[in-house]
Amino acid sequence: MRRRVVSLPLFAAFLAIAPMLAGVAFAQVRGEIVGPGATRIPIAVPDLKPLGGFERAADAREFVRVLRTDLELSGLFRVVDPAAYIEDPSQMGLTLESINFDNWASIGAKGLVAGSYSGTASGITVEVRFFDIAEHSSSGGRRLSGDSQTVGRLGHRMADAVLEYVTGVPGPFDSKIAYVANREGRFREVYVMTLDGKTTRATRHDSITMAPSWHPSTRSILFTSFKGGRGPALYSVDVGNGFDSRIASKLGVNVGGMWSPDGSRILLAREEDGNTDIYELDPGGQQSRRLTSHWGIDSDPSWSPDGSRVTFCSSRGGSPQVYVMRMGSPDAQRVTFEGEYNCAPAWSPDGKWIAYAGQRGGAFQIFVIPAEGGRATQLTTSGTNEDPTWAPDSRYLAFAGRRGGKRKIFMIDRTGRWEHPLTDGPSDDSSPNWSRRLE
Amino acid sequence: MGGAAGGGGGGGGGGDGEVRGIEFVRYYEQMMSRIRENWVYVGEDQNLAVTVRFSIQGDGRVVNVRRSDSSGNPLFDQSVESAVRGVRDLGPPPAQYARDFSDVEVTFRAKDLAQ
Repeated sequence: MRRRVVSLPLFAAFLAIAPMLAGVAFAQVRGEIVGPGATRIPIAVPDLKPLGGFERAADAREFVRVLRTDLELSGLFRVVDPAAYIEDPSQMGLTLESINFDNWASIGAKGLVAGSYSGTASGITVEVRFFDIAEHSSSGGRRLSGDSQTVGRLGHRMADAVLEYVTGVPGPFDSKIAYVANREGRFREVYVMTLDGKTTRATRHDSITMAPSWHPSTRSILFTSFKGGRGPALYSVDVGNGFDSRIASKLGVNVGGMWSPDGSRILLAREEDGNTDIYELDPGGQQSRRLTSHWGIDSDPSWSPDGSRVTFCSSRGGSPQVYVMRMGSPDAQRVTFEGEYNCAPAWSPDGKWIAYAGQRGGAFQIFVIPAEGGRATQLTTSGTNEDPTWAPDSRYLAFAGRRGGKRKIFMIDRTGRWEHPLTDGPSDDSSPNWSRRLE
Repeated sequence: MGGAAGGGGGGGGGGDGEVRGIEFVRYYEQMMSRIRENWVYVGEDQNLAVTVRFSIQGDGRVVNVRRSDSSGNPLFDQSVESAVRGVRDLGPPPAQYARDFSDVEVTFRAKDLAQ
């Protein structure tokens, strides 16, 4: 974070200034501090204390691994190296009266996330509390149960609870990101990753797939595929069993499918009569309604979270820019005015923001602008970056960024102060789409 | 990410018209540096300020920490209170300035208003 250092004029400390207002109880010594010393909270996350039951030590370790990974990934915390912990997790107290706060303070921790687990027949029950080391206090905790197959989700849910404890808004980690990659050969398929790095393949089309978009239930993904060489068609794949079905197969440009927030309609860009416009489809893809009819190219539609408005990219003003249109109204308001090329808008789940990719100096960067219009904030500055997608908490975004080599999926916070790659390896990764919180 | 000693500190002095010496300045700088190093704020709102008042006892312990006002943002308010409380022990203040440091007021600003 950039800060202007304010120097302390020596004479100001030597010469005390008399109170300006008689009768006001001024402190003997006064000062001012501008900007925090750190923007990440040093936090200790010891292993869980076993309380008995079935042997589930491996599950408990996986829970803590996911929790630590998420907290680091949030950019809000720096997990203190467990090798430095003085306390033995198997022996330590877990109540305000029994915790040795000085031992945790001495290793630089300001927060402590500690708890216990019991092995159940199918998995574990964890109980974790959040402690403020400076205040010697605890104001939250969470008890979660799950089976061994989903212990990672318990870690994500606990991380979301820790973020809620600190920021007031639950974190985004109990969710998934769909994206397109050529991880296994020359074909581009849809993959799904969890925030702790586990990736599974969602499609087997042996073709080019594009623009994955989650159903609000998080059970299926809409995507465009060139399967069979018949031109792009809209498909939906069930992420539970891998079965997919074709929804819309009109010839021509037929991309950008996105479910409405209530799952009752689909938006997509479709080329008809030589011009691309925004269309609304029923869930089966049979009935369509044209929402825009302009000579300019209209593409990249994204719903507002209440389903009442749509943001999209249009060249109707002479250059591609981001517009907002109320459903049922033919009028669209332009939102972006700086730069010659602004596209791929995405409406934040809290309704307050629209993210987009804007071209600056030959490269695309990620921007965020208030949905009602206003001043845009540039989040990225290096490489070229595209296809922003919002996390369910509206605090973070993901995007595809190229930093020299192949494109990778990155995570960034809404201020642009914290950025972290989510994928690595030799594949070219693109078109991320962040799900809602899992059910 | 971590703050340099004294970086971001500003202002200083007191309210009774006395002239203070180099020992006062040295202790004052150490106090401000320790508090700032201890201040962690993870919120997004940057247009915030709040003032905290506290006492440093003769043995150096920081006590009686309370906010003089509120920024309107509980996360910010809590971060500055924790920054002061977390310091705990600053070491004994210079004997001739012990009375001064028994009543300290520090204003925390999330960012420089000139930026």
